[in-house]
Amino acid sequence: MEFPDVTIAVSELEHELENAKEKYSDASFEVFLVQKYESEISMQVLDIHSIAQSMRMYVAVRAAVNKQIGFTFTTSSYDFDSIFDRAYKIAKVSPKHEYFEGFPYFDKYPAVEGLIDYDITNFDTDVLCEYGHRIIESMRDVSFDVRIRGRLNVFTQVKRIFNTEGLDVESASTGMSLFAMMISNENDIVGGAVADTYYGHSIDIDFEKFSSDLAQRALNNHQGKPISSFTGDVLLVGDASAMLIDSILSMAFNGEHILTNRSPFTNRINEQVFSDNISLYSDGRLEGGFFSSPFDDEGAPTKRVSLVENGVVKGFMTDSETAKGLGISESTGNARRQDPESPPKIMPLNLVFSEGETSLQEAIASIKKGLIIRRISGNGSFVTGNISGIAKEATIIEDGELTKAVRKTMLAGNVYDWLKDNLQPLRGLMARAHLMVPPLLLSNVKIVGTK
Amino acid sequence: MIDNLIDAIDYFSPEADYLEIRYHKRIRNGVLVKNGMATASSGKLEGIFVRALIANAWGSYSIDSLDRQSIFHGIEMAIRSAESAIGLKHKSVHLADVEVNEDIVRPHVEIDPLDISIEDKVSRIQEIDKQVHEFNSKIVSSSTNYFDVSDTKYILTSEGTQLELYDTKVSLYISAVAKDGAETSVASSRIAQTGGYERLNDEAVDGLIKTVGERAINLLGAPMPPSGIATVILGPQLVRLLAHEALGHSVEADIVEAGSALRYKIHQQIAPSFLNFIDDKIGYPYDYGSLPGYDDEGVRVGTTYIIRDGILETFLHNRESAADFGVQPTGNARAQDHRFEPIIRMTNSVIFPSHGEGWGADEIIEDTREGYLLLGRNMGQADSTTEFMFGVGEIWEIKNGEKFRPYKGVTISGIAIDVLQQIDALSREIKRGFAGHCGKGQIAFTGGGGSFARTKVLIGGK
Repeated sequence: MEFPDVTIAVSELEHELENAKEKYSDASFEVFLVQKYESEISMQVLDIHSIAQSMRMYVAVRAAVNKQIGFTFTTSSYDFDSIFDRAYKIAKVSPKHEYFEGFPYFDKYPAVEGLIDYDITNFDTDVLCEYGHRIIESMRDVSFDVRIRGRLNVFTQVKRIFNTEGLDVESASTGMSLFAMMISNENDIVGGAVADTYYGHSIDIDFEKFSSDLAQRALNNHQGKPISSFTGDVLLVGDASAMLIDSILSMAFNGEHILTNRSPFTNRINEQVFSDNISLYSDGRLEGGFFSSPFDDEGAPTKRVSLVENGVVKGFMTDSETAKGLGISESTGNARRQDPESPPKIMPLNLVFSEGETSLQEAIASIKKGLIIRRISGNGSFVTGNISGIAKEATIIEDGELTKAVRKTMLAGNVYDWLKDNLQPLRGLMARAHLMVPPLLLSNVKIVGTK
Repeated sequence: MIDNLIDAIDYFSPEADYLEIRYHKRIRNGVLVKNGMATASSGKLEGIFVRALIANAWGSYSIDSLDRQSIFHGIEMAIRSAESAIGLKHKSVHLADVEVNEDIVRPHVEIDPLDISIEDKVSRIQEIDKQVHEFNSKIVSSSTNYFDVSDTKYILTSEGTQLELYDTKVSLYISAVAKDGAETSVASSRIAQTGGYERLNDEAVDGLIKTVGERAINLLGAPMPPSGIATVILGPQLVRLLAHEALGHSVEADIVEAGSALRYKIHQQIAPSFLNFIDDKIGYPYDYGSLPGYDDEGVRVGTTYIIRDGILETFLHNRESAADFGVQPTGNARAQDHRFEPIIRMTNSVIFPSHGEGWGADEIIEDTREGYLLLGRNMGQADSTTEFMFGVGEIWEIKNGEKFRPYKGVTISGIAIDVLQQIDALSREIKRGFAGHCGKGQIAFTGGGGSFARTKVLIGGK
């Protein structure tokens, strides 16, 4: 799977951009182009189900006329001659964006390592099928009672951004993602699902271990029992820890929510809001980080941005427009397009939470009565900090030992209160897509059971 | 272009057990207004998805190019992909027989959103956002998000099916944040329907603004409800969520095969004998999940009774799973767009009582001594055991048959099969037109609704 060649598309788009500049002298334009080769297998029950390949191109154009912005996108090169006209026409009928001061221009970018694995460029579907086969066979080695639903995906991608201010940047990357959900089906009883993911720019994963560990977790989680409500300590691990941070903090420190007064941290720079063991930063340059890149999706250089330092608010994530609104001299490089059909908006690149000294094993050993939770299915509001959800893969801890799997158990509370008083990050960061999170120890919280 | 598709499928048919080509063009226009600041967008997704079945192995390829050479190359690549997995498969793949269809289906649209200028849409959505903001002086922030999608599909199979399908949907989502001193509340709701711009008429939009505005204000200062198991009356929006997330996913045949708590319950009584649950693909055409007559495998669609009079009657199937289970396909193969393979998805999920078995909605409240009325929804999830978690928009305590006081919306959970069995009252009044964007590796527009339902759930309060 070689890298896509964007030369022809870029050449055609540059030509159309020149035409648009001549035609619309009052406008400026930005072009965002992604070309991607992708291969994916889906796994179902005890088998590889299908093999998919694709060759995709997305082009998005923004036009700006006197602070009015229009956005268009297409997947078809037949639209290149009309997409600038459409963007201009939309801009002309759109209201002004108060803080928009033109598309950015930069000419210096950081070097970011770990974005390409040349092994992926040598991939073909036979190799992918072989990896899928190893995942399924490792699961079957653990038990024939465990079944899988999952996907293994590899891609090569080239991204190019240029605008009428003279900005012109291009980056290439490779990537791999693996999602697997496993369910035990022992004795005609279906157990609770367990799931795990891997995201990376390289194939840095032991497929057999990933699969056999997950299959074992599915067996362990087979028949959780309801418990009575109690107040105790809770360990949040992996996806549970990530959910807490992603659903609340990544939104609360988004510059747009500061600017629109939705975040409780508006006007609180340099104020102590959490206990001093809490730090958080966004780092678009993190080596090998899944969302690392020299530039963001409007071409601004990525940065490491401190959001919370020892419990004190230090900054917010911004794009160019929001940075101006907040009176910050330059974007923090956090403009991302969730998909190429959407205009860039502020999102974390790699969000890194502080880790502590105590290991997970030491924390387990210290707990008299508590719960370890690997996944929470729940809701959180960054406006209020309230969160509640059910523990999807959870085990009781008694006198420092993991004892039995539980179900029908809920956790509810206020994350901002926890971060002030009773949340302790443990040692060991784990990657979860755009998050690097440690296990978290919540002391003295209420667990709601149904027994 | 359709001639090139027919030529290509004819040319490659001898090389595969089955071939399917889907051309999909989606035009999408949107206006997002946040606190008065609007961003308008317009775009097009267009391309071809090809699937080949060879010796029990599926291969596929998706491309954005539409010329004859690219189409032929796409089919060749799909065949090559399938060949990669030959020999690694444990399971045989068969497709249930279906009728060969040739048809053209156009939606009933009174006002085509493509005929409304982007200028008029921007102006209207800005005005709506202004009305949300001005609904009450305590509303400090608002967001209004409009979009319309217009789909064109050609579906061709090596068996001879040739379909030309058109579809139009519109969506309007509103959210508001209210503040009063240190108290903050958030409320949101959506109208999303199949049909034209007329579905967002002034009456419907005014109702949406009122619902969101009143909810945001009511929740200010409202306490958290106590935690624990409680008697609740689920509003139709939550009943749809229960039907979709907790029950519907558990009867999708691909999930059933991987592991679902309903796997061994087929043809058994799993709900009260007065309860029915349907996946209704065309019965109420305005529902957001309605299909233009056929699914993405070219199977003609209708209404599927999943639960009839309390008995689990069928799972939801595509052609492959129908063959596995020895039943007819239910027309539930859907793909997000040309980049995705069709997988088993729900359309419109509706729970309602059997004829003559329903209560008046007010009668259910009057008959409840202690409990909660749960209205509106946030996100929802469920798993293989049918254990679910839903965010609730608004909670009212009921005392002695009357609405007493509001609480903040929190999360509720339960095991759907238990919750279903504990339903002791369903209203005759059925509300439809609720909507969701369901994620199962790809996004599907889903809709439906249902009765008010009284049952018991776990409330995750203070």
